[in-house]
Amino acid sequence: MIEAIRSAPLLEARGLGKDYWLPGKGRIEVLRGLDLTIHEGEVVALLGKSGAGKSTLLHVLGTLDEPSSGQVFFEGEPLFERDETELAEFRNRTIGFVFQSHYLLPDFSALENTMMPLLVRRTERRKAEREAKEILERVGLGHRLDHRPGELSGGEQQRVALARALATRPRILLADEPTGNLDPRTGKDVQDLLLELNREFGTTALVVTHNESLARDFPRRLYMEGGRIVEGLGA
Amino acid sequence: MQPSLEPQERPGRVAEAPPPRQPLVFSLGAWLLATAFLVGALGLQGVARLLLANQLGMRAVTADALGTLVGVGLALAGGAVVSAVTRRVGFWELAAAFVLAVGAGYGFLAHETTAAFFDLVPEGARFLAPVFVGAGLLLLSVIGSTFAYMVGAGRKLDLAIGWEAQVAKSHLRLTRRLLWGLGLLTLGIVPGVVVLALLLRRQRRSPTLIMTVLSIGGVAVGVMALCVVLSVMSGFEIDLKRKILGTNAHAVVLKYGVFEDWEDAAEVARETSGVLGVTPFVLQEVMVTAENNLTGALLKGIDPRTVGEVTELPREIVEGSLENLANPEAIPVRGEEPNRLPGIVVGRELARQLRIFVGDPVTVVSPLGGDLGPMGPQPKSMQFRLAGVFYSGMYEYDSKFAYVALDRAQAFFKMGESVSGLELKVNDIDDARRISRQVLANLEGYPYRVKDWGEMNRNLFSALKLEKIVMAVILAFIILVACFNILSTLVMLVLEKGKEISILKSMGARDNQVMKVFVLEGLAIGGIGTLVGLALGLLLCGAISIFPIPLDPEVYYISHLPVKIDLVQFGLVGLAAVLLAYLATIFPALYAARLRPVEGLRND
Repeated sequence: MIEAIRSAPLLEARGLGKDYWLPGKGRIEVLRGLDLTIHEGEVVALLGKSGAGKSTLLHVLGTLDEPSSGQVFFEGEPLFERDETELAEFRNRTIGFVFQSHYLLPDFSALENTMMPLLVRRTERRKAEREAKEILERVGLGHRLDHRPGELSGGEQQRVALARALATRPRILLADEPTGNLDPRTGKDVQDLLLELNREFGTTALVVTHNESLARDFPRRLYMEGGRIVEGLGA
Repeated sequence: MQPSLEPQERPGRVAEAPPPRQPLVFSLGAWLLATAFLVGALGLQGVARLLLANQLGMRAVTADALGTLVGVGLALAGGAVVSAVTRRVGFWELAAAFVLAVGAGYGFLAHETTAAFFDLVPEGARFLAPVFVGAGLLLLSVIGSTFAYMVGAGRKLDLAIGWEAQVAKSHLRLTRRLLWGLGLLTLGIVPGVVVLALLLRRQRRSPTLIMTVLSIGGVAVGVMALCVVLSVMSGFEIDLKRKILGTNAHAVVLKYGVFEDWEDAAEVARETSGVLGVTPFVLQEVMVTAENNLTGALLKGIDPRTVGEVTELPREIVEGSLENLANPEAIPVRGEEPNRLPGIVVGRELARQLRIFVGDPVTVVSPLGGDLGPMGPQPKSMQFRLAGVFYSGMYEYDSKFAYVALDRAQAFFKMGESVSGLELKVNDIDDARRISRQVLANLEGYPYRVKDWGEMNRNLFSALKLEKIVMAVILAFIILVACFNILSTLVMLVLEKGKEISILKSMGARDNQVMKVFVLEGLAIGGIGTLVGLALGLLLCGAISIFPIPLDPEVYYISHLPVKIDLVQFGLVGLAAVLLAYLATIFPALYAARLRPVEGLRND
């Protein structure tokens, strides 16, 4: 842990603000000058009530959304000074996303879904297939390669989503309540798998959850409140 | 933390002021570049005509085609350059360049001389020509720039369409079964639809699939209609051209004053390369009477020996014979005594109006050339005997022309040895103008002059051409409507697949790659529709030519609906349809590309 803190921060948010305009309700501030530092190799749980802005923060950190103010730094470089093409490249090379509901492409098999980020990168199809197969076997779905998302159980879908996020060997895994739609037992299994893979690949991870008991497995816990981060409460 | 913040983590419908990451900057450089390209493309036609056709003696058609081709290339390249400079499609720069280029074109054509050079003398044409040509170039440059954006906006050339095609295919649900069904549609609409319905019976019928099939059908119907109508019009045109050129020469040589030295001139014309045949003629307006019937006619004196070199007349004789003009003794006469009257050949309609048959006497009356009588000039008349009847298929000719031997005509009109002119046949009717000019040059110009068939029938052929263009434009609107169908299908798809676009973008799909997905979808719809339409059009044209549709020959002067299957024309229709389909994809595809990644992730 001390080692990790000494190394340069991998992802750093400074003074992050995000507001929306709701018709009739005026401006709503979701993030209010939020600061966050995540070092290489850290596995962080982000807790908070629903509506605290956890998902918005995750989207901004993953460059899916832009902050209204503040900046996100990756290895010290400001991210939101890059253009759309460079951001796409950044998402493809560096970030892996897992969402609350699996968000798999419904018309593609588990294998094709897992291959997709590699194909987006223009990896050769045969190589992409090999790598995708490898990681699907690793998440225990070697026998479900040709099944479409509709033909998989909730836990299996989420495992495919995890395999897809990790297929590109990203440096950062951003997971938005990956177990939120699962029953507690399956949720625990998926989370254990997530932590296990993270250790194995050495991926830095930020996992949003509102399940306190599941969050206990994480070495570092952050709480979100009022659009800001409160470190380590309830740790 | 305010309690009202509760639903805001995933706000349902959020009207958000988007932060200006890519502000709309108008790139002056791109604008100037685009203007240069468009003006260059507009001006190329003139350069091509001046340099290639007039200076280097290239055929006018070839020079024009070359100029157009390079102009098209320049417009595409201009669009690509604008996209490369601005790193987006750069539509506003191109539109502004269009305004400037059209202004320049209009200014250029405002001069009488330049306008006359392009055959654009009327004021309206002078204004419309740059607008139309410019609009075409603008569309081309938009095609160029969107294409360049798709393959090049990621900094490096990215021609691959691997996963994009896969995603596009999944959106359209174009299964093999569906494609087979559409293929069978070309066997005929009714059995095709039945088979298609049977094939799709067991397939998941999503609204998208129905929209896709309807869009394909729309394009197919438009393409088919355009192909069939243009083929029929081509058939009419070719029929008309064949009839006109069968009866008339490809070009004539005339002379100011008396044309007595025609034999020398004929020799000169015959020596000119490209000239296949030369024959002299005499032409005057006369009255023709037989018994109590009377009608006006054009009396043409011809040389029966050489006329066959130039016109189809010898092959158009349906009764009697043309040779009998030269030896009238052979004309069969009712009664015993041999014929002493000179022969005459008239058209079928003229014979019908005069109610005469081969062997009957005919009186030709000319108001001119007679002696002076006590009441002023007296009309002159001469008796002929009907030696033959011709049928050209052109009502105008069959009811107006009467042929006699050259020497008889010269004697009748008191012309001595002189003729009205020489008729020429050339080896390439599309090159008749250049060849006839060459003949004129070899004759050392004045007092000679030449006229080619295009000039002689200018009204008719320009009317036909205009009719065809107008027809093509009107029917192209069917395809245009079909393309709006594609547009609405794609907009539906983009809205339906918003979440998927966001997922793909979260994986790192670039804007231009997302654009590719939807352009591919539109092109697939347009392309399949075009192929089906072309096949249907070909089938229908084939059917019309195998099972002719009868027409009333008294009205149309043609016994059945003519059809000319011109594969180049089919290709052009197909190309136009695919280009229109591509243009229809641009808006939805760009809309999809510009969706912010978070957009589809918020509402679940």
